[in-house]
Amino acid sequence: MNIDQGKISLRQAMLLFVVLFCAPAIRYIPIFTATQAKTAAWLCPVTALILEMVYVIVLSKFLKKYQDKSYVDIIKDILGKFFGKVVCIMYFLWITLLVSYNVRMYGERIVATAMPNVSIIIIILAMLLIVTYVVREGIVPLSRMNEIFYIVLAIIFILCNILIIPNLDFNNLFPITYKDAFPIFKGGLGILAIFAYSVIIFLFNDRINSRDGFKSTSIKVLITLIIVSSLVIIVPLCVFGWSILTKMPIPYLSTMMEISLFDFIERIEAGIIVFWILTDFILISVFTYTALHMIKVGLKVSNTTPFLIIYVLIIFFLSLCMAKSVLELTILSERILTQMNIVMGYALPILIFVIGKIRKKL
Amino acid sequence: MSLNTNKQISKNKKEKNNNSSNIKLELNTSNIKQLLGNSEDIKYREIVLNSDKKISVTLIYIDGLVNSSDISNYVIKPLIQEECIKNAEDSNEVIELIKDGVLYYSAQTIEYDINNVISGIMSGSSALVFDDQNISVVFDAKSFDKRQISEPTVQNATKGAKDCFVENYRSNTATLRRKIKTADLTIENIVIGKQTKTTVAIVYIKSITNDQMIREVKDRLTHINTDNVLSTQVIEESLCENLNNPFPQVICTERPDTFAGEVIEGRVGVLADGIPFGFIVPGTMVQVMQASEDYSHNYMVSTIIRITRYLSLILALTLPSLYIAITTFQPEMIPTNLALFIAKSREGVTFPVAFETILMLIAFEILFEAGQRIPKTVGQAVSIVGTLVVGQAAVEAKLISPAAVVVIAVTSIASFAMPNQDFSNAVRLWRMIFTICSSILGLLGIVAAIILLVFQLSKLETLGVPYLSPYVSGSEKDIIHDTVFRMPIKSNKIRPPDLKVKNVKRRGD
Repeated sequence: MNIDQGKISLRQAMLLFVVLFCAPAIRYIPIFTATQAKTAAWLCPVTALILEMVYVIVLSKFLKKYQDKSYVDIIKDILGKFFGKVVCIMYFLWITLLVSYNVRMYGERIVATAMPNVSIIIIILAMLLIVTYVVREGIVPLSRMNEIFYIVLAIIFILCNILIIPNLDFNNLFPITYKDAFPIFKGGLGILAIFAYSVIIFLFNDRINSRDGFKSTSIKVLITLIIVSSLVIIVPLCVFGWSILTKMPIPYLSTMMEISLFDFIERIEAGIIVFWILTDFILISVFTYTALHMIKVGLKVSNTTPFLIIYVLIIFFLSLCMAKSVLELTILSERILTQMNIVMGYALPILIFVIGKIRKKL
Repeated sequence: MSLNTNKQISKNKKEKNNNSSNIKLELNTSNIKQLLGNSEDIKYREIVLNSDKKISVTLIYIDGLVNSSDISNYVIKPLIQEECIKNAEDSNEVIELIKDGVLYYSAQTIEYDINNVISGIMSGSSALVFDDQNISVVFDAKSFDKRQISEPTVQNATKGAKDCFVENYRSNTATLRRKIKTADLTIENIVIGKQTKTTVAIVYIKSITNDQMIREVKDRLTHINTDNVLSTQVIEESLCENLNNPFPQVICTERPDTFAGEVIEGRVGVLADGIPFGFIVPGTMVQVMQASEDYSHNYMVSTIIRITRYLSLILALTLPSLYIAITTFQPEMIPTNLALFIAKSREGVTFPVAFETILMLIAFEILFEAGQRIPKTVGQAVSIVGTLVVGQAAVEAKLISPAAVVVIAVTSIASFAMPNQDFSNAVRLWRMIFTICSSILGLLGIVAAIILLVFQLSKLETLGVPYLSPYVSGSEKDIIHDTVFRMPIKSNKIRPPDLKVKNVKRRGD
């Protein structure tokens, strides 16, 4: 008596996106925005919000025409078979690169913060084994797990932000002048680069049950994410100031180290890392599922389990080979992945939208 | 050659079986005797109704299952004494008179099928067989020793109903009828078990419960192929979709008020003769974390109690593993004074923390199991010896540290705070997995165990309803109303959407 038929609801899809956003946002947004906009970094999410609103309108146009089709089918229909396949391969490679990067980043973070004496290979293997076990069952259990983790993460995030209030110095948020307008815009692009992950959810659009109220739900989610990204910037900015913040590897986590409860419970960052691993797990699992779904739709195969094992093995080796150190990983993220995210997440869908309009497919 | 012969034999056997099941024996005393055999407790009493016309009938019943005085006073006595029966011309007239109500016994049916008569006799009815007409009048005069409705033994409530289910399923359906007086309450019977022929009742409210759900439950129950229905697992396993999961997917309750509440909610209930529990499907985690008493307290008090219960769940599941992870892998997480205290208490203890904790958990499991099996009279002595004497001696001998004793004690107490014993047992199993994972990988191991546990629970569905519903696939409103929180009853207007009920409104407005 299976009622959902292996599909998830729009709410579940949106919650997946929220959690996908959180893991890289905590790691990347505070440093990037503070480097670009200094004290005005906390205003960067506003630019991102405006640009993302435009993107939501484009996506809703796609969904209006192609109700139950995946983004792979939409691309093929609009661009034709050959160019469609080329673009799909580009998306597949992008996702593979993102999974590998996130797997490696997760491993490095655990080694640096919680388990310095354990080999990164074991840490990565443990994660990939669990991901393989979970992804095998499809998107429904994964999205349900995400709903549970979302509740836990939301409670922890709110509690941490409340507990850090005594340490906040709001003077660090000022001054702001009109000259900050362009840096704010540039900083906003960094946030936008993570918002680009929304296209990954769109890639398994055919696995989402009903898209009624897509616009209103998307706007609610966007506002939630803007609040999250604002807090992720404001809290470390208030505690450390922009100049120290830009030199920290994981500023938000360092901020949490400042929390002291009744002068008794201190250094709770290891506990926070535990929950951070959960967001990483969701991110890696969803990306892996998306890549598999692309294989399934692209090659029209029913059983993807053999592909899953091969794909996870590729991820394992790629994550270990892609950079020699955290520094190289950070450079890869700043110089290549950010730009790539914007191209694949925004430029390409908008280009496809324009071609679709010209070819009267939309 | 031999293969062909074997095939022929099996074919003949099959044909024979088919024939024997298809042949319908005539309804008369000798055939009934042939089918029932020579059991001493089966009584055949021939009664001559009219000596002139030689009208005789046979009363058949099982000694000990019928009320003898009722049969004597309301069946045999009027049969012999009533003038109209005495004056009857033939047995056909007697049957007509019985149909018209000459006998004072109300619960009577006219049967023409020998199988129905046999099953009636086996269930405790008495059959009056008219051999010349091949007709039998079956009187429902069941009376056997049964346990009185008493207070619940497991699911106690200080401020709630004090009745519980008993082994007699008719008493249970009557108790239920007293609680739900709507005509929409439907109780359908099916018989399961080749040997036990146990009556199983499917209980639902036809104006509320989803039809597909009812069909599915009936279908699953009718497909049970077993000799006996003597234990709860026969019913539970047939209703479960995923047997490789220790968490209870069918809610088992001994409280009629809980059962009635769930049936009114739109779920399907199952009662079985001889089993003093009611089963409710589909089961969810929210249900097992709730007690019927929650609705007897102020909603704020109930909410606090429920939060405490969820905290107990977290403690019961993770405390030993956290103790291992923090003391062995991440000691910087705890305050320095506490870390020093634990280190001091472990001074001289030979076993490593992980081994010590696992040892204590196993010891607790043994004590728990022994506590359930030993007679009540010596139970207290064993608990004292097991916990106090052995525990104290083990600490003094430096086999275990006092901190480990405290951790295991708190964990054990927390696991008893959960209202559902089946759920508590599943938590015990997962606690061991958590402990082993944290012994290997510390906090990372705990996270891995959390992911695996949540995955197992997320996969679980019964009759299309997710086990973690409404935390998953429900809206924020569903989560707030009656889960960890309990809002005032008047604000609880809608039935759980996942049950896809016919009438979503809880109230008449």
